[in-house]
Amino acid sequence: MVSLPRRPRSPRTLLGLAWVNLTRVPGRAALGALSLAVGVCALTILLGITRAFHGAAVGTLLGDAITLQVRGVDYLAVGATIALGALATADVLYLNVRERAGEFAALRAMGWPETALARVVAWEGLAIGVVGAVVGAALGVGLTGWFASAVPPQLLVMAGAAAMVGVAVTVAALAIPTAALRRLPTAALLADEE
Amino acid sequence: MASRKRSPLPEAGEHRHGTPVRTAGLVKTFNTGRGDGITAVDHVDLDIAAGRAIALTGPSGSGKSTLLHLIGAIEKADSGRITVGKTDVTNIPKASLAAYRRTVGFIFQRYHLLPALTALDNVLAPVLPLRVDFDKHARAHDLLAMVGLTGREDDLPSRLSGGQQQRVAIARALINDPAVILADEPTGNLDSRTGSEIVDLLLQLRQERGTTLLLATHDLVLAARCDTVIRLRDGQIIESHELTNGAASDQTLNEINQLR
Repeated sequence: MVSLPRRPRSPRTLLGLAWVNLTRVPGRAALGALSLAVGVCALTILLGITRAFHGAAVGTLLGDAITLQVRGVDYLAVGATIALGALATADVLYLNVRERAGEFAALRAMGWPETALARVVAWEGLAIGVVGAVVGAALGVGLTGWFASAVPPQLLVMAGAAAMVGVAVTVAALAIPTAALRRLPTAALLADEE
Repeated sequence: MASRKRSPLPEAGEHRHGTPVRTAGLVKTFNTGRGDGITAVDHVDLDIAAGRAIALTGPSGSGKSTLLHLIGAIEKADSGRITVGKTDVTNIPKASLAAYRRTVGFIFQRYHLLPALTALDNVLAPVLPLRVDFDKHARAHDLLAMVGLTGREDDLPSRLSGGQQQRVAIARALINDPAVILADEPTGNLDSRTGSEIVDLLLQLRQERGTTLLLATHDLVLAARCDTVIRLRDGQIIESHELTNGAASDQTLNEINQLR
């Protein structure tokens, strides 16, 4: 359900408008970010173990000493998780485009260039992607550091790399909602006689 | 204190002449998906002088909205020609479509305001992604004052009545100072008194700014206040009637009734 802000913000840029749009569906936007965060968190842990801890992170869990190692199949699973997270973000944006179809149609009729319409959707996706990636990377660093009782600098570098992967995959997934935007039947949406 | 950019709006009386609108042999057919098509606009020829107020009337499905969409370059014609001023609308390159649409002000039946933006920001919405050579905030304030909404700038559409929302939509349509206004059933969601006020406003703006006005409406009383009433049926012009004056006098209503 789309909600309206209690105190309306005045967007001065397309990024500002994108932010206003996201705040209309905060739960949905958070869900998209969380979906991506899970994958980025897992990738941060895998990369951290592989590069920062040289393939094996040793720690304790419930009093038992445990060694975590990474197999190739783990990377496959995490890759699939990130892809699903990016697709979830694309789905959130697709729903947003469908729900706001009349608004986009009106903006197009008023002379907004197609690139401007696409940029609003892209900024929304990028915002979800960045928030999800940063939260996921921070969570990955926290969990790995907590388990291994150390946060080597290389772990932070790997967290940054995992976050960038998350954002990049989200940007690729933006093709779905922007394609939906291009296909909106502008005239039919505007001629909606009751 | 920062200096203002050029005057936000033409002064009252400083007529900004509208633009002639012409169509020739205009045809638009929609595919029904069953292999056949519905001809929404069927060989329509129009010759509208600059600054005229034209009412398009006819039942639902008669082609009024499609005709406005074709002139506003929201739909593409199957054949025929549209010229608005010197622009051949039927042959506008895709890259120039948005720029053309900014020379036309669209007003819709359902307003299509952005619900999360204030009245002022809705008026500014058409120019949000653009660099413009005028003080857009000053112009938006002036336009809201012109449509009688001074003091309501910070209200969300949900806090405005239907008539007020349509006034915001009219102000929004004027932010780019268009030469043509296309109003598609602008009073369709309003009671008759508010609808009459909205048409008053459109005609007043036409008078002050010399803008060409095309108004699609079911309401013959409102249509009677325009310069010309064009009646459509099944996509064709079946009658065009020049009215003697712009007021809904008994005489003009009688003339309109002859169309029914």
